[in-house]
Amino acid sequence: MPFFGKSQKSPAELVKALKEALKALETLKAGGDKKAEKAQEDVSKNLVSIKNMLYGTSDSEPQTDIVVSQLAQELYNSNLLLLLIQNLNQIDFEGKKDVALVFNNVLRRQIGTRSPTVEYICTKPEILFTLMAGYEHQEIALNCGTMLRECARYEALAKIMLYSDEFFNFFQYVEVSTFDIASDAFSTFKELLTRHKILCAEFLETNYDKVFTHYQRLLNSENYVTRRQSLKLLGELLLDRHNFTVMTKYISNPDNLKLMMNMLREKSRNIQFEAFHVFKVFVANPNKPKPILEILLRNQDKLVDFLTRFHTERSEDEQFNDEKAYLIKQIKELKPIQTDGTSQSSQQQ
Amino acid sequence: MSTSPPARVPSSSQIPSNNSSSNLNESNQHQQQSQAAWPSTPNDYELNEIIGVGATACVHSAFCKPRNEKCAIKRINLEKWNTSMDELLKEIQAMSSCNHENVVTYHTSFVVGEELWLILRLLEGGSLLDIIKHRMRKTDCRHGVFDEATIATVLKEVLKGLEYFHSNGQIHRDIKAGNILLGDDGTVQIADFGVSAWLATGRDMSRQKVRHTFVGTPCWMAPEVMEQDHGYDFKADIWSFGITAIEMASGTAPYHKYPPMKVLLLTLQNDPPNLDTGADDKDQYKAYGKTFRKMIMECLQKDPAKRPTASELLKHPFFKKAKDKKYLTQTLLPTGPSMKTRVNKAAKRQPGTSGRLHRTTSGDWVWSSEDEDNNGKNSSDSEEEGKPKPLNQIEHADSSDEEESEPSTTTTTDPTAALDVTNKLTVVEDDFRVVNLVLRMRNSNRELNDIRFEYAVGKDTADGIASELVGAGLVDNNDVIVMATNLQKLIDQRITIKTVTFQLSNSGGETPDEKSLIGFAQISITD
Repeated sequence: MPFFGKSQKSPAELVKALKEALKALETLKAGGDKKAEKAQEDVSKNLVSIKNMLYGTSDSEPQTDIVVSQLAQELYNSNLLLLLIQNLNQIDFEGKKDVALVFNNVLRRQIGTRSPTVEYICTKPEILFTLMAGYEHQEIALNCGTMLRECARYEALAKIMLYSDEFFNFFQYVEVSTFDIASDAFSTFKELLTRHKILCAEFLETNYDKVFTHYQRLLNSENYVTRRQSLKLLGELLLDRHNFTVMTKYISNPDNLKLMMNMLREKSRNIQFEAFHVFKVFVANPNKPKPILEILLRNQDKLVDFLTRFHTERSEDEQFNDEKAYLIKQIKELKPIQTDGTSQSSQQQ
Repeated sequence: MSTSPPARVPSSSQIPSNNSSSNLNESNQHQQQSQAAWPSTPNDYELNEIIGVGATACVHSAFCKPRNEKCAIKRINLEKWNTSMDELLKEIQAMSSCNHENVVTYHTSFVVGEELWLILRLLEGGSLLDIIKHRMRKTDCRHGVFDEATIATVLKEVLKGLEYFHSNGQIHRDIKAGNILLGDDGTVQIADFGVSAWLATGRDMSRQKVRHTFVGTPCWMAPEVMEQDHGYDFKADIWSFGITAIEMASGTAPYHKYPPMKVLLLTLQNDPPNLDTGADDKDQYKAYGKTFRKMIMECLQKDPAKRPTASELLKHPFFKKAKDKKYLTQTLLPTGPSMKTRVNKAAKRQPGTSGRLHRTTSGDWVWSSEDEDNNGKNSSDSEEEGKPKPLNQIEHADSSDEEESEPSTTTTTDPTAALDVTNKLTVVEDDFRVVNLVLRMRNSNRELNDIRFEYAVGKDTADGIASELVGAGLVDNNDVIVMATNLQKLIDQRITIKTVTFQLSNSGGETPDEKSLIGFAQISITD
């Protein structure tokens, strides 16, 4: 096999050519003229060559590790990854996908236990923030999402994103009117909040108020999908044992309980069902704070009645039925708080 | 992507470009001519007639006012969508990552109440299956539905779409005439990404990890997909493509007469099917030549490695017979049902007429209809209007004194609120009482069979279940009405009668006998 395969160009040459074409595209921008077209073609052509170097084609193998590591090194030195992302909307349809393929491949590259591209991006967090801002542009949002989720798999990168101010933009991105973008943003959002358990728990604990103030808005969204998805994720977050502290805090707040009781009665049965899985945590809590206990007591009979009739057609879902039976029993057995005020938490909203 | 108007380059299909890269470039160029983006508010669209009905969705012909352009709108009822929302996102991502003349053109999507609206290119010609069926009704297709030139022309377009699809790292997994759509101008597009899968996640696109999920429609399904032992790859689509070729010639998939389980057995145990497999006479399809038969044979090899890739197939001599898409506007489209016919049919189409066989985690084979959770034929609007206005407020506040002053939206002062909720729940409980039933009848080998199924009162319809049984190949198409009528009767009078017996259209040549259920069927309530 020839050392540089069919591409004829060395990694250094390819990266240089791509960078030049990108620069040309960047300056010509508004164009539409011959020159801009030529630049765009050059960008696409070089991207395909780089992609083939990394992935191979149906008739050629991917390049050897040496070539790939040369390529990666060139990409770092030339700052090309950032440049590609910054100019992503100028690149044609297939080219955008190639950028994501190249980016993700280089990101996954390992030397022993090291991930050199992850280390590189840590020094260039702008790459991450540019990708996150990609959700603001319809024509590149999904491509950026593909790359972001690959980044989110690495704890170091997830940490940078989570602890950035830009992270809170996700609360807008997940609610944009275009469904594909909103739900792509939601899956990235979810990945960031769930992938690295300890990191996520720490983040949620230290930023509890800010996160849940924002989160409340998602739960009250006008958008059915946002409501349903965010409620489901809330349930998953609270039930993850790593998030014990966060859960305890969440289920101590009577406003949260009221919201869940409202959602139990939403028109949508899917939302009712997801709400059930959050509501059950409030009831199952062995140390219910006074305000929570009071709400449950005030509604004791109604809740028992309501739950008895709740989603009775789910007869095959054993776990659900067991849980429901448990909740009914718990609520039936609720006793008013003694007035001596011993160990009950008196946390207020 | 979402801004690109439908590609219309009539000359493109005349370029004999078998080379993959040239095809891909061709599609790029359609990109540039973009105008205003597709809007994401329902008011910008005029909904017209329904042109298709599925399980959780219906498809309207529509008009986008700001763009002054026709389009199709697929309205998916998300409340009935029980699979995870991620699956839906995957389908849309798969569509939106495609930009090719022969792959369904996705414009945008947005949420309207509890529905998701997908805005797609309108293909006025309907599906290839619609055209086949219509033609079989109108003309004598005993010796074949379409001529080779028409078949080659359509299939070549399908192959170009598949080639693009595969180069994108995707497997379609449900290639069949029903999923191939035709535009008025002869455009051929692969549609329905409902079960498509991504392979390209690893390092190497050409030698990916294989998939291990079991989806597709049995008659079109490759043996390795059924077996599930070693996983499968792009080549599974080539098998389905071969079956589709047979479908275009004979009008049906080779084992269409058999129930899904039997199809699995036949596909796994027999030699690969060919054009004559489903024929009544040996010479029935003699008009089709060697090249065509050879092409089919190459696709239908049990060893997936031996099947050609889409790119290789495009170079097959059979596709030299292919003409341009204008040819299709002359030969194929005029023979199809008119839009109006299809609209009427769509409105009448029963749920359960198509479905998928899949293996559950426990290893059991189950047949699930695409229309499973459909309790009405049309959109959800009409049903929702009928129901009492839902309450978005809850009772806890009304019993709490200090909270009454709060301007909170959660507070309700309506004392009947709690009552309404209870009523609603009672209705639901009653509505979905499940009746367990068994249908006893003889199969094609005259053996008595018990088919057990459930009927959720208020959720299922007798018509729906009857067509589901037909769709699963368990009941003869001619018996759909008698089956539905008797099922309905049993459900309606389930307090007083526990069993119904009725005559079927066909007794297999024997004297019908009610007692031994020859030419008769019986439905009983088992609980």
